[in-house]
Amino acid sequence: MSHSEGDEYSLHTSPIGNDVSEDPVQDHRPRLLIMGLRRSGKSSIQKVVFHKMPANETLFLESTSKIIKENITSFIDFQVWDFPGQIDYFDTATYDSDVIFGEYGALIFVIDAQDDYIEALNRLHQTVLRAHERNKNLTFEVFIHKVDALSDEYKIDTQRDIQQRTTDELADVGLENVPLSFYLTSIYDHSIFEAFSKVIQKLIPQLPTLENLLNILCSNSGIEKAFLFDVNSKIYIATDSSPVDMQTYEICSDMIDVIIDISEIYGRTTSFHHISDEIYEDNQTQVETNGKTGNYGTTTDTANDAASLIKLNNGMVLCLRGVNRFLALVCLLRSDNFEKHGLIDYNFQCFKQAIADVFELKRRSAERFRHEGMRLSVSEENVGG
Amino acid sequence: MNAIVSLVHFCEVDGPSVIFCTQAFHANSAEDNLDEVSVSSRGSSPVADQTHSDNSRETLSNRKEPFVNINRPAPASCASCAFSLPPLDTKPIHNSEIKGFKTRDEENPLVTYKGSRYPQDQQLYAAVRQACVRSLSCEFCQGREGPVLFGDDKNGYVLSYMFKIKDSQARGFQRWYSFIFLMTDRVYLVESWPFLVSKFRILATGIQSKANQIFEKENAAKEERNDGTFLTRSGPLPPTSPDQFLRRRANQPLRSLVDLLKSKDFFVQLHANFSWILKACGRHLQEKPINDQTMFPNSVVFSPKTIMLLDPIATCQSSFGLNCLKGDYETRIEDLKALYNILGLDAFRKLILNFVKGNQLIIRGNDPRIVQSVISNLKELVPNECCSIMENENNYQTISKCNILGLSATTQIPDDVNKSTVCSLYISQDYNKSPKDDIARMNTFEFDLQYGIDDKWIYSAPNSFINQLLGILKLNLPNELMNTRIMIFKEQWSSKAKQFLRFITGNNNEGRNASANMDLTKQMEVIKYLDINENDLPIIKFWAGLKTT
Repeated sequence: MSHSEGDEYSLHTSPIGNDVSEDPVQDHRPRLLIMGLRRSGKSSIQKVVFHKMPANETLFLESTSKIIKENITSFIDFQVWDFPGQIDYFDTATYDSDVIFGEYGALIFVIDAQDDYIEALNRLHQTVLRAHERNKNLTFEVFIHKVDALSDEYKIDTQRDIQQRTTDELADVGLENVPLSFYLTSIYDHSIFEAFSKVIQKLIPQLPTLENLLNILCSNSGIEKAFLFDVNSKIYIATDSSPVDMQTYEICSDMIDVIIDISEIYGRTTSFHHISDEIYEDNQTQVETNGKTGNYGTTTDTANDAASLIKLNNGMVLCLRGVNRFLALVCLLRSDNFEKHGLIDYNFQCFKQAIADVFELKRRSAERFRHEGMRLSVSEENVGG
Repeated sequence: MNAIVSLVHFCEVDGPSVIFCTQAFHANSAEDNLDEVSVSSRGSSPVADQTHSDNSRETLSNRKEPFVNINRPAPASCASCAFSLPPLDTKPIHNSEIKGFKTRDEENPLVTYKGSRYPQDQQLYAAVRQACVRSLSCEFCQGREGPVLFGDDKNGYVLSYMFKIKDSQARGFQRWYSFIFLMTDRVYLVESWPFLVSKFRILATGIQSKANQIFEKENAAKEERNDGTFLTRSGPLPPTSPDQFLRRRANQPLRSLVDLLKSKDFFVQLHANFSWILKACGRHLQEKPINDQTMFPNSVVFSPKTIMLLDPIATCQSSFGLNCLKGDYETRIEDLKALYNILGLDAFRKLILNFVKGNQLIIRGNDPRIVQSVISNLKELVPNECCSIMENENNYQTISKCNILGLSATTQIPDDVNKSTVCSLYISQDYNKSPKDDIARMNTFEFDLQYGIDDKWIYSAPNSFINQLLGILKLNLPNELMNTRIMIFKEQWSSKAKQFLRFITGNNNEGRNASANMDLTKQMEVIKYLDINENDLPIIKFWAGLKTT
């Protein structure tokens, strides 16, 4: 089944929202600029994360010749700009770099770790210098990419080396305070989603509020780990303050895939489905989908009721709840704690309401500012859970 | 026409890069000392170039340079965006590096077409480079393949025809190319759109189909090879490990078009095509807005360089009006229709035919105002440059001085004048009878038509000019509309004359002088397309400024 029919999934929405008519240059949604040398994997990352392209198909992507701009409409609207690696966009004669780099957002620089990365570091240095000159608010994220083929030891060495060289070079020109983050990524595992999650979290002004809400939920319901996922891209936009374990993240992310696949097949009708199925040999699965599919642009509540429960054989329970049409909460808890079913449900309702309030506030202020013709400034207000 | 046409490519290594461009040079412009090898546009065995090894060595040295040189105008090139010439048949005259082709225009010795990787002029280079980058990495076209027009006054206007070709070694198995046509005149470019797009499309599909064949052949070969080994599956084969794929050719430039299409003289043919496009595009007739916004301005300086469909009507109106103001309404012949009524069909026909064919008209009369009004009516029938007038003379003037001559009634035409090139009209009015009503007044005119061309020519065969004119006169239109109609009629014929002239001078190096001798069959062919018949040929020639004798 094709993934492109996004608006038919119960938990899924088309990446192109209802406001595609807006000029991507003119609007002020945050930008993710993906840059890097040619063949470093920029387009592959973009395709895998935002288009669900299977990783091994990215081998056949043709080289990008234009900036590919894409509007992502989700809990937070942002744009992804995929740059061709061959062109120097700081050439002021040809490009207006103020327009390109002037907006609030993040610059993701992709380095091919399997290649000789000296040239890439040169380019990174230039890019950081010049982009920082144009826009002091840009955050810089360095993806040390294609690390799947490297041994763990080599990975760490590479990251250390790259980090060392880059910060040294930047220190030489007096830019120690430019924030650079480094991630080891690969499209063949979850690391790229994880890295993207961290990048996007920096662009969410409500992040502290969301984290706070999650913390409250976890402590009151005996949840070990909770992620707030963007269902489309499987990026988590917030998690509670306990450390993120890669395996936990992976299993939660996989659960979303399961739900999407199930709801793709059974979620189309309006009738209530109760499916009990054995997915893994020893994982008992119970999926409830109450997703009325159809037009999500108008009816917002349909996907919100999606809920699913997977019992793992190690005594843990995976629990998914739809929050709104973009977000889903996935949490991992001990089956002992799951005894108090009703409490968790109640807490979850409170949580859901709080999230709705947070985004409603943002939506309303955005609307107000649009009416007044003023620049959007996102208000941050704490909403208790 | 000032234009440059070039082929550009989105190179895997260098990004957008110019591969080849062709420019027209006129002999009077500064000669640059390019070391081209001349190539005939017919694509016969081309004489060319230097060795390939030179190229590849250059490539090797450039490849390792850092990215900073991507946008530098230096001729750094990888194999995929280099242009190369076929192996030499003969030794070049001297051993210095050869940069391009030169084609001489066989019909116009002043023009040469030069093909090279970059234009020599620095400013032009910048413009082409800009157009190349913009066409390949900024502009979008519906369906991604096809024509786009963009540009500004500073860098010129560009028509870009984008297309992709298959390459089994490229990422995504395809590579992007574009033909760009750069010129400063936006209006002209837009007008040339259908022509350029159709030609570019033909070129592009030619290249694509060739590339497709080779792509399929290579794919089949690849599959066959893999059948023997452990992998059997259809379609392009993934490498056995991602590592292998990523390392493979990572830094290796792709093949050049010559290798990709396996046609050694690809660039020779491309140059010939580009030259032809430049030449043909420069020749089409063009409609130009004239300074004055009114449809028929009173005076516009006619320069032989501009081609205008609308010929200005000269000052006839004013002299006409003057006559009117001076008074005597009765002594004036108002318009062509009035003249036709006075003369009757046969005489009118003879007079007009003599005139439009280039014979001299002599109008004599006892009243100079009548003579003047006849002249002013007649001269509206032909383009201004075909008409020289002396309105009121006492002595005969030769045809070289004027082709409409107003003479006083008593002046005699000298005997030594060739009577077949002169047509004389004598108009007299009997002042004694002057009845009140119009029709009767017409009858008071007496006229006498003498000399001129054979009656045989007039009646032998249909003549579309006079027939169309008579058709218009019979339409019974109001005066103003009639004048406009005649004016349009004249424009139609002068445009035919221009096309005729273009056609025969275009086929002839010596230009106007020799064109009269051009063989008749060719002329017949031309007039067939212009929708006129044989008998109109002298008219067309006269209007086109060609000597009929």
